[in-house]
Amino acid sequence: MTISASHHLLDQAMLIKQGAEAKVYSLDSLLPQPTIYWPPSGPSKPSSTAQIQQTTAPKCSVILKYRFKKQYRHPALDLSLTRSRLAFEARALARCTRAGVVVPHVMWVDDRNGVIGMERIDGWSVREVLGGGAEGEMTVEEEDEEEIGEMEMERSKDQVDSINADETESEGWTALRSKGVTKEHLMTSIGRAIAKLHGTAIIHGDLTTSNMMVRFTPNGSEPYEIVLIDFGLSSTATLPEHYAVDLYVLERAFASTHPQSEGLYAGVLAAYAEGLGEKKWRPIQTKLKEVRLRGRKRDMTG
Amino acid sequence: METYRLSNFPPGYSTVHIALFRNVVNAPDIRKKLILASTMGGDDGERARQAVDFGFIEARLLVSRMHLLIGIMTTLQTCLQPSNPSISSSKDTTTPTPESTNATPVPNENARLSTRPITRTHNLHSEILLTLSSNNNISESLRRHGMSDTTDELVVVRIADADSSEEAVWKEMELLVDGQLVNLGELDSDELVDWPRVSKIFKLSELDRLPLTPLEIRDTKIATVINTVAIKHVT
Repeated sequence: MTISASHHLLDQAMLIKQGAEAKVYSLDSLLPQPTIYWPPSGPSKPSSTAQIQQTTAPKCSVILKYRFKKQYRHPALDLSLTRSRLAFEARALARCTRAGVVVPHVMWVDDRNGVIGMERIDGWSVREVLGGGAEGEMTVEEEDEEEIGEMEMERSKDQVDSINADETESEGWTALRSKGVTKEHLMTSIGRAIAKLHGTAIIHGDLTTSNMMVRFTPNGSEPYEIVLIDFGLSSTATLPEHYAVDLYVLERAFASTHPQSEGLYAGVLAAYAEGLGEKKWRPIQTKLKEVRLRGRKRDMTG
Repeated sequence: METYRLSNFPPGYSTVHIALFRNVVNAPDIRKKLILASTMGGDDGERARQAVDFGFIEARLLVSRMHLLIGIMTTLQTCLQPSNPSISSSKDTTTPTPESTNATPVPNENARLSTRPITRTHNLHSEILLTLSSNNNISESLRRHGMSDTTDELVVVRIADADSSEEAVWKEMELLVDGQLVNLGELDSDELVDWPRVSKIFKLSELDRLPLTPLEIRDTKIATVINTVAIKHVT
């Protein structure tokens, strides 16, 4: 049987997540390590500088998202749905990058087989960073970073004592804290990232703390950046309503996965409002209040 | 010269040889040979075409090594789809026996060898140029991303079968190109890139207005160009 190049890749990759729509695989390298051939002699012998320069294969660890065939759908419909969703996801990611929103790069698009390959983000999801949820002290709205830092220390000491399943929290958060990052700062970055995204008229559709990654940026102006991932449910927005629903989904996600840090969400909204500008924020704010009352269910405009 | 052996593609097209030449002085000659080869008939023409069967890519429009590699991968992936899986599905995927591996196609793999690339241009090599291009205009892609008489930084690509040896391919390249072979990693250095032209082709000027550091803007531009190439066939 002839199998596609994409399936070969999937065979080599490691399954990391299985959903109803797609399976997610992780692959260390999209490309094999190349062999280097330098001609033994001849006029174009490599200069010494070229030899000193280490030839390392480009970093290309990928996440492969495979929208598998759905047996319950007619094959023709399945193919067309898979293709259009995949194409939309790829285009949304490309549009985001162009607009300066930090998202994974697209590296492999095979619409016929339903496989999209994206850059793997080395970091932690915001969910991991926030871990088992912040303790009650986090409602304090102090701007004094040192004090918060101290409280974080106390908190982590408490956690070491208590046998909590927080070991993931300590890793990501400890790393962030060592760079002087506070939770408030993290929330501000999240708000800004979403504002940037919405500035491109794309809504994410599934904003949760697991769909945001924190990655260190050695060359950046900030010590870290928020990378939004999983644009599988994204769509283009036209009305304030759409943006409001997107925000509301995140608000609920915060409330349910990090019950103690709900207060922090206000920081996200504040940064969002600032990032988007007063004029655009107003109608969304009004809508958000409405959506809070009625729930996230889709708009009733059509 | 770097050689990638991509086992996930059909063995007839699974090896990619890439070389970056700097300070190339005979671009007009190479172009003449290309044109001559394409117009010659008979056995001579066949041989001449064999000798120039490479992809010649203007290196100044490549923003990074990844850009080139993704371009090649995308090309192979779109052109080498298994033609009709349902027909050949009766055959089993017999993995090559250990003795006969080492990049030799086993008889049972004939089905995979027969996968002919489906290209919009003449061959896989020119298809790479089309993939790298920002639109679907073939002649424009050849003019822009292919070699011109003024090309001095040149990438030469050969897509070959699994058996092809580095040395043999290098010998052929050496005969054609008069330039200095350098590490492919030099594609990542900024001095090679003609940013004004790249910006114009991929419409990147709007990115300069982003509130980011120059380094971040450069990275964003590179990412944008690579994305454009990667999603080429779904736009």
